[in-house]
Amino acid sequence: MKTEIYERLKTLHNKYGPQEFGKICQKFLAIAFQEAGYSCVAESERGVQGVDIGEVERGDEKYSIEVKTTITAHINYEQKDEEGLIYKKRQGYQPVLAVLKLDRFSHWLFARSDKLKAGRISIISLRAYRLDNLEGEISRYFDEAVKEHYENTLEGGQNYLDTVLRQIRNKGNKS
Amino acid sequence: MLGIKKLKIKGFRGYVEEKEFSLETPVILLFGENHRGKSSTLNAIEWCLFGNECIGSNTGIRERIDWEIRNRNLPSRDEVFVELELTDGNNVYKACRKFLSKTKCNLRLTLPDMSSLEGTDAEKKLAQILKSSSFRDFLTTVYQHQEAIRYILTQEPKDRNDAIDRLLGLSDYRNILSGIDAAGLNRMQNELDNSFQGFKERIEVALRTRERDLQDKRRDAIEMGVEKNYINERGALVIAKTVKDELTKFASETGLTLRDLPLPDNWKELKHKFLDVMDKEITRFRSEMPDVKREKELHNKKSQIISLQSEYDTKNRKLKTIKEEFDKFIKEHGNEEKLNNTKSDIEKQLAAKEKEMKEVNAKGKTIDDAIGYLRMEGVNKNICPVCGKEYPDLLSHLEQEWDKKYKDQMGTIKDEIEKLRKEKEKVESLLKKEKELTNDFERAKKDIIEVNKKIGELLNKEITEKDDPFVLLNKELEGIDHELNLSKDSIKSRQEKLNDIQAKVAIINQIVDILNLEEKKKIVEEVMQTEEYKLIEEQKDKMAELVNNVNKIKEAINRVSFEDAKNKIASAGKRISDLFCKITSNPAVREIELSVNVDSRTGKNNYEFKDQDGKDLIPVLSQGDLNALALSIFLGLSESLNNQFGFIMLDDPSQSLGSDYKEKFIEILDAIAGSRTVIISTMDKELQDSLEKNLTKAKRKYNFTGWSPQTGPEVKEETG
Repeated sequence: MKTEIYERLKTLHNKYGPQEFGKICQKFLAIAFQEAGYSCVAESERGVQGVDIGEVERGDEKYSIEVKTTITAHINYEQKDEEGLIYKKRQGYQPVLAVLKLDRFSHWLFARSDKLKAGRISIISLRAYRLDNLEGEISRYFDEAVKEHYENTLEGGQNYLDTVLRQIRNKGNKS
Repeated sequence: MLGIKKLKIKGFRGYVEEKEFSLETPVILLFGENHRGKSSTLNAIEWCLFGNECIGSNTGIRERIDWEIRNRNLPSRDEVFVELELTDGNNVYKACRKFLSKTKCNLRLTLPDMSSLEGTDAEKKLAQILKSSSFRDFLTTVYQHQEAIRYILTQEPKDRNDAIDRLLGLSDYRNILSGIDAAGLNRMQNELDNSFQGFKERIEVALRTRERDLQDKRRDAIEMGVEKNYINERGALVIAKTVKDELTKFASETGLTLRDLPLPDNWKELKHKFLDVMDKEITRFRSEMPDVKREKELHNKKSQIISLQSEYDTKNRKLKTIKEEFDKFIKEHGNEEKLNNTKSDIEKQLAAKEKEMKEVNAKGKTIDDAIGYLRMEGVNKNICPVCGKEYPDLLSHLEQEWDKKYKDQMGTIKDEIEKLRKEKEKVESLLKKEKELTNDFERAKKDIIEVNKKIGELLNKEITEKDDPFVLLNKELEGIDHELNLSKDSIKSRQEKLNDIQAKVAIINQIVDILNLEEKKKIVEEVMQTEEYKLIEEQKDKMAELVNNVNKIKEAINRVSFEDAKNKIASAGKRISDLFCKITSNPAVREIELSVNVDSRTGKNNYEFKDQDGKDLIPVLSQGDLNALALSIFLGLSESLNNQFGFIMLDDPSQSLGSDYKEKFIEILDAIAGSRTVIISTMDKELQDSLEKNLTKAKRKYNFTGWSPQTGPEVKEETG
């Protein structure tokens, strides 16, 4: 990923810790999807469906996204993650695991997760399931979102991004 | 069903000489101690039917990995072959397999009509006759190999599962899975992922160094007075515009010309196309400002004036000194005219005295003159100056004569002449001195004129005798100092202005350095754009796909292996339970249930044995029980699945069976011998005795009594 994006994310990670950082990245991603023209990004609460971003739609494209951030080479794909996405698959959404390793040479990896089994998964193995085009497109918007909202996020954390998302949704609803 | 009638072996494994075996009796017993050739006999049947399929690691039998077919002691010219007579009830086939090399053998198949096939055709026909039974099927349902029992007896679940898979004829699946695991694709994938690690670490170190440099430079920039939001390209360009505007204004105010330079539109061009030039212009302005130039001129003039003053002063003093000396001289000695007159008088007196001397005594005068001549340095004292002749001691002689004859007479006159000569010399010396003083004086006057001329040129006026050049110069100096004082403040303020502009240039340089460092930090992006990096990414994708596909294949193989095991257990499970219970007769175990599930970690088959109450039996089974279990599985499968072969072969079946178990086992074999030929190889004496005593079917016994390298097994046949 770009150096400036990496450094900003690193600063956020150092300030807020891994859990909070994960949430922040989810919200940046949600903003990215919105900016890319996807609609109805319902950032579901955990425990309801158990899906992070929820469903995103743009024309025929329908995805249900589970976001994972890490600094290692693996992610833990939990049973509830799997169940949540399977549930969404039944509703017609392509389950997607969105993984970001916080590393200068890494970038968002969007993997079709319908064939994945719960457990410890190496990030490199997810490459077999990549959705290249979606990755490329959303990564650009993600970078822009980070650039635009970094300073305020550093100050206000998730709460600030929640405000931004509400504003974007409201704008979308009005139009 | 296919039965075997006869077996002929030569040079195969333990065999050297040709041996023949009749196998038409219901029970064939091969008795003998270790290493007598019993197993080689059974292996020969195997090899004849399946050739090199029964050799090597693919068999799943560990001892087959480096198996040698040809007996080492066989003379090299001798053939190795195994010949087997087969019958399907109506027809008799003779299969003769010959050893050609480690990897090659040749089959010749003689058909019932006595025609024969050879090579591939023979192999195809034989496979037809065997109804496409594989070697794996043969091991599962016909040939109970001693290694299979050995591994069942182990307590290691992995080894036991392996052995049961082999018993069920599923070892090919295991072998493929082991092969896949051995390829280490996951390891290779991780290595590929990590291959970049060292490089990433070096980049990280380099970037941390650059980050530290950046932070230092940012701190310095802030200390220089740069606002944070100016430390970027936009800020640099804004300040650059300010610099240009201020310099333009400065040039206009001071009457200088600023070099025409367009403002760059990006930070990269700032350094060389703008800042370096501006720096040079500022340096130029510092020296070319009119005030500064004037100041320089004034300082130069001032230096010249001071130098001239010094020169004038020196020369003036010199003139005065010479004048004083000259005046003193004149006062003391008179002037040139007077001295000349004095000299003239002395010369007259001298002439008169010499005339007088001559008149007194011409000869004496001549002698006096000659003495005076001879006394001169360098003159030969013995040569007469008049006639030129040589006279020894001439000078001495003349001096004596002068003293004797003429001294008294001419001495006084001579003294007076001497005295006059001295006076004359003195006057001449004074004249010389006077001349020197006059010359010095003239020179000094000339020097003063020259200095005055220089002063005049400097002051731009003619210096006359009425002028005091020194004072004039002082006045000029005062004027210069006054002008310098006046221009000092103006120059200072202008220089400060240029300092200010130069400080801005330094700030821009600092920002450019920062931007440069930030640019260099983008090395990661540069690396990611290289072909090599893209290739690595492609390889990672391909690798992931490969690993994924291989994992799918593994899953499929595991599924098939599981299904196959399940089906076999389903068809033979009841019979296996019956056989086991019959052999062991354990009152606590009325039934065993053999089941298979999938090991969640490895994906491979995991076998469980439960009793009638669903309890796990393995922890309570003895070695004998496990042996019985292995035999039950084999015999159960053989009964359920073996439709092609009319015989079974058991190699050392009683490894851990106790006496009771052996008896029960023999009962079972007796029953089997009713429909198939049972070939048993054993060194177990108790089993031998029991087989002979308790088997009700006709037996043919082959005693393997010895073995030698030259002849191979010694076999004695008994029919019972």
